[in-house]
Amino acid sequence: MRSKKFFIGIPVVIIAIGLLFFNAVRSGNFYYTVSELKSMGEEAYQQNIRVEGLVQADNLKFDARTRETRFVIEDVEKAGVTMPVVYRGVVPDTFAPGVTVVAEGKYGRDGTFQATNLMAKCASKYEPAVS
Amino acid sequence: MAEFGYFTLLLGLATSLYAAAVAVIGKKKGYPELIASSRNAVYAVAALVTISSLVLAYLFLTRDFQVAYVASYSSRDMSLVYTLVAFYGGQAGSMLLWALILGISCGIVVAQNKDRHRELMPYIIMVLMLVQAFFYLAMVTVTNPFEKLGFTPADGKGLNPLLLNPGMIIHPPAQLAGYAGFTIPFAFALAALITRRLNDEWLRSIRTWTLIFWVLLGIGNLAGAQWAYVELGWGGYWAWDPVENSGLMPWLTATAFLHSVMIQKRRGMLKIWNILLVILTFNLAIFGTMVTRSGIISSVHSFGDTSLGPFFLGFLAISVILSTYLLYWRSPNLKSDDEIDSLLSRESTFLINNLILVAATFATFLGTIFPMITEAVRGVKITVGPPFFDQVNGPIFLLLVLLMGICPLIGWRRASKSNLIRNFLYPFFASMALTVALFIAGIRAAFSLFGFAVCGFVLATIILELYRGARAKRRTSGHDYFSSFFGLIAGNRPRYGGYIVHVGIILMAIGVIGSRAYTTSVEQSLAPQETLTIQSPMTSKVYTLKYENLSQFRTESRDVVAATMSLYNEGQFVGQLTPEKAVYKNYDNPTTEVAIRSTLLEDVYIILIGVDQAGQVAGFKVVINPLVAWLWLGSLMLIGGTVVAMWPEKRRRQSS
Repeated sequence: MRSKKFFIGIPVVIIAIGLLFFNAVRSGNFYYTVSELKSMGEEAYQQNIRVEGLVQADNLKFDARTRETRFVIEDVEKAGVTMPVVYRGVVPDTFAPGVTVVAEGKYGRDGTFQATNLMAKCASKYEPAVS
Repeated sequence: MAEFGYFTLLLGLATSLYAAAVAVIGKKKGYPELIASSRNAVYAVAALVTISSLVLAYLFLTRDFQVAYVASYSSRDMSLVYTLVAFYGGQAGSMLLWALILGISCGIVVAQNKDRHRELMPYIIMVLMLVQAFFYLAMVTVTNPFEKLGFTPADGKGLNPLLLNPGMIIHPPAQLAGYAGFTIPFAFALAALITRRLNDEWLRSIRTWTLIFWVLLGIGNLAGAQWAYVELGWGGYWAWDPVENSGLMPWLTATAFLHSVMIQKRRGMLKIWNILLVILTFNLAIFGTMVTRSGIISSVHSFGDTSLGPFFLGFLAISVILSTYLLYWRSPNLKSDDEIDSLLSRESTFLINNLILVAATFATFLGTIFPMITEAVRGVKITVGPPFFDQVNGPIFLLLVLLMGICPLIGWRRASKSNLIRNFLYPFFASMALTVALFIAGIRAAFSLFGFAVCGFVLATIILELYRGARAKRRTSGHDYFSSFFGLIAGNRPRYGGYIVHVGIILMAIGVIGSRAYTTSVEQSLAPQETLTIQSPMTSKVYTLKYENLSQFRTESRDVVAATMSLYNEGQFVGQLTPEKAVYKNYDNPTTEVAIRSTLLEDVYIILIGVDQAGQVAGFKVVINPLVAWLWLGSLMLIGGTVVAMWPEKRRRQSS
């Protein structure tokens, strides 16, 4: 009796885990660096993407009328590889030049990343800036 | 002074290793003096770690900025309270706080059990002291809180403004205490495995300890959520971020353990399961500390230094492998005394509750490490966000709430029909009535309607049970209902404390359902005297916000830009709210100070996104968060209920 119940449980668990994985992939975001995203082909424009990069000091603009923040991120490892980002909404307090951010959204055909969500994954979030 | 502090760390490391070694040698070779010596060494470690902490606190209070850690996290203009908060503002201090909490708890555990558990104690000491030694090792090698700079800066950098919030006084110590404290149940479980003394004795000794650290971890998580809500300024309290998840996971498995223990005590079942839960909880607590402190999983909460990552990973690997092996090796000794008779019984509903808690933990763990899995399998990182966790954990947690109503009232072994009717018929009708009422009131979304119905059902079962208990008590004692009710609770504190905790969880569930299902927001830019409106999707109330003016002022430590807004509820003036942006000294980034108008029904939450340089135009985000206040009320009940459950009974222990 006991072992029978046990064996019925196994496929249930496997199916549950399978569904979980399926659901995760379906609702997930693909995570790329700036250079990875730039070197991708057509599929770059069709996925939900998270892109990671360093915020550059130049070309950082906030417009209070449109609440749009425009900035440029640079690949964390490959210096010189950059991508413009436009984001509308609340900018996290830790967002600043020199900070690593993760932008979530879509890659536009004009080469600009349209972010719907912005996270400052700052390595020094709770640590003071190193001077 | 700093050198002395470092010396006490070294001494602490040596003493904890000595205690671990001598305890086991004394036991194996049969020298009681050695075991006594190891006990004294545990006391010495507790004293040493207290001294180390006092030294660090002293360095902070005397503003000794030659000490790198003090210079990095405090400054002269900080108040006494936040100067002490700075103690755990960074990595090294957090490690010391971990060690302090564990060290003192170890001292108390050993003193409490001086004449008890003669077989178990040496191994308990060994495990506790090895964990303690690990934290010492981290401090003396990788992250020394007493490290000195080559020069003495005139002032320190000060604490990050985001941490200057009352939430920071509670959240980190409670969270760290929760993580550290699970070492104690873990040590008892491993000692029980090693000595093959796998009956209930180890379980009985750790009930209060587990409850204390369970509630502390709960407080840590909730205080963290509250802090995020009022300070981080994105409009929510929980984002399913890896750091948050890793605080939740050990709490879920510990909750499972607190429940399954009852089955083992009563029926002698689930022995392997209980030990497994303790092992899981401890390792998840270490995982939590690692995720928080090492940045090994990229998270918005990550702290800077990654030097601890490999260190923790190594420790975690050893701990998981050893404890799993030990459990496997001893599994023949863990035969169940009994079997489950029926699906409709308290045992089986408890078991389902446990499986669900572990399933929620597993789903959360999977989501947290999903980028690592996909990178290993497919070479591309896929991150999952709140939608995944909400979809998976939402229904799981609702089922859990439902079981919370059924479990405590269903009969043992095999529930009879009359038992079911007696306990669940009225609550069922009550929840149906509630559903109809809510539907008429305008709540139409299926999931929330069902969720509120479940909450109502469970609440009704608890009220009915309390009413019946109080009525019976009144008959036997002759007192009025009021004093009978308190007499009832005092008579069986663990049981009724548990009910109070359950009510707290229901209030929290109502808050979560309300704020998840009905939150709405609007973003708009306004010139002075312009207005924006937002309608609550739950209550259909229309709120109007009028942007009155912008003011700028400077205080000693910060430059502030504040927007004054008038809030109208259906045209009625409610009050003024002033969301701000402040720039603190030493920090370039502006800090967003949100303005919240909180009522039991819903919160109006205003974020100042930014201000036009030249003019007065300001961008705002306004969020309506229904029922959030219930979450905080429920948290307080959870704490209160746990205190009732833990409260020691007066000299009646033998009778129960």
